[in-house]
Amino acid sequence: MVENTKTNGGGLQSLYLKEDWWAVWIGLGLVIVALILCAVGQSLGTITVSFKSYDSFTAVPGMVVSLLPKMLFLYITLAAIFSLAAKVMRYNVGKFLAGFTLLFVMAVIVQILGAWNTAKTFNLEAPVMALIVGMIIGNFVKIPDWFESAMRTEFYVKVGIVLMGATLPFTLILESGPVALFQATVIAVTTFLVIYFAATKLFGLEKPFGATLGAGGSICGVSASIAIGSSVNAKKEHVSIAISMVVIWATIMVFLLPVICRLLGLSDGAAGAWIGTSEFADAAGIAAAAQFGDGATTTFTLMKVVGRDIFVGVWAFLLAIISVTVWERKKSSDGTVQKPGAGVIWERFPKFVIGFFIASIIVTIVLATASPDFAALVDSDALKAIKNLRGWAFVFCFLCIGLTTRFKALAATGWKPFAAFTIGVGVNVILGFLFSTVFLNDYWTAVGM
Amino acid sequence: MSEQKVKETCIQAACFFLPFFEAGEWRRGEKSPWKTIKKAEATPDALRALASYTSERISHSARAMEALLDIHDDWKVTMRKDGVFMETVTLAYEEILPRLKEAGVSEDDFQLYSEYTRKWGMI
Repeated sequence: MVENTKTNGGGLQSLYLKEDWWAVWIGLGLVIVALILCAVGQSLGTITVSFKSYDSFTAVPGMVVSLLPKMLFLYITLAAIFSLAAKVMRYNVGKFLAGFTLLFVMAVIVQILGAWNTAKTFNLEAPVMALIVGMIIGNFVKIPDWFESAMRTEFYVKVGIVLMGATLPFTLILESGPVALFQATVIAVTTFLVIYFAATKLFGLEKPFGATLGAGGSICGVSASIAIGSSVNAKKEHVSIAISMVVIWATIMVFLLPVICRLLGLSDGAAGAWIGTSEFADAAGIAAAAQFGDGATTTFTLMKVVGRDIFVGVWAFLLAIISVTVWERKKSSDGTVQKPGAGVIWERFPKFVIGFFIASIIVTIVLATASPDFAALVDSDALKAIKNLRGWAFVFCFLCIGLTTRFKALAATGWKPFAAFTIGVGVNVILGFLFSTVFLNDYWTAVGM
Repeated sequence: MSEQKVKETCIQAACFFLPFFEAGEWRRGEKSPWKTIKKAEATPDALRALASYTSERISHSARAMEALLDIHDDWKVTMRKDGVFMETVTLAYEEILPRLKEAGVSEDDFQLYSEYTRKWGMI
């Protein structure tokens, strides 16, 4: 049973029952182990697996055979960690492990395909390859239950984001965070208001529905639709539609934004900032930004995680107050009101972001206080392994996005919510483009270098 | 937009809180006597009034609980010191509310907290 945050979400149980917290424990655990190993002259090199570019498939068997022991170690390590988390979170571990095994094999295959130089010339690197392969299989092949149980898109992306914290200096977060926050807030508020007023004033939709749609299109996609839908007691049908809108547009954007970025020759940093502002979902956004490398992934993360995600709780709180004090007071009593409390800010706060910040702080302190030799070792050894593990977490996530994006399963939305959301998408994309590539182009370009 | 056409992409947990110490006063900008107890004059009559208020509140909660159990039989019930939480994922609150009203349960007798999660592992 899904348990309400009112009855258990805020308690100590959430520390071991929620994916958000497990992403923190796994991400921070890996970072700390990597640093400790570095300090005792060891490394995570035995589970660092990356595939070199190749021209001909004849090179693949040799490469795979040479990497086989490391792949096996990596699989055992990740399967053990994720299965432990699955067990504690009360998933069916047998099914999860079977599904994760297949997911791992698929991740190996798409990374090998993505390393093919011919695929690279068509920009079909691992992230896009994973999305496409996943979507083809997910939409045309019936996925068995046991495989489905390992498709934890959000879990993998959150682990990846915590690991990413270790590779971003905290000084950069402090320096760029306020700029990201400013850009993200201006655009998120504008987009929210556009969708909300288009939905309610132009198309006559209910206010909680408008708010749920607006949150999905402006804050952080499905997570925001769910958080705000819950805060304002939106109807189930309306939350279903808002989720479908986010999924449809996030899927379009994951392909469209990178194409436009390449056509316009945007810098990696500006491309990442634009994607971070105008893509709706973390996982889809990472898939789009990863196509441009580390610089774009950095600016994307600053914009999306630091600038947007952390405020979902504040949005939920404010909209709950508006819902109770304005919307519900004006209509006849139907009992659909809840008592708002500031506790919702913490309840809705994406906890994995705490792991992201802590990972960044730990590595920044270690690098700042260590001897130059040890700092160089951390950089070349521990951080290299962490980046590699992050890459694997993201590939699992990209595959899961594709495998779970089943267009037949999306809600029939009706034209009014679709129109309201689409107007917001237009405003969001244009404003995101202007801020990232015109007003702050030099800034984001420099950050992404 | 027909309800039948909408495919569900989320799961709703409808959570009804049946309070022991308040009756929707917060909605009218008022305060429950339990919230102002420290400022009240301590007299036998004040205590009796508080007992009467509380007894009535808890009996209202019991009646609301009965109504919810009549409407649906799949509830997770959590007892707290300030009230009872009744939660279900197998019936949407939109279907429950009109039937609660029919059963004569006032909106002062409960607070509704809906909670959504993704139906499938989507972004």
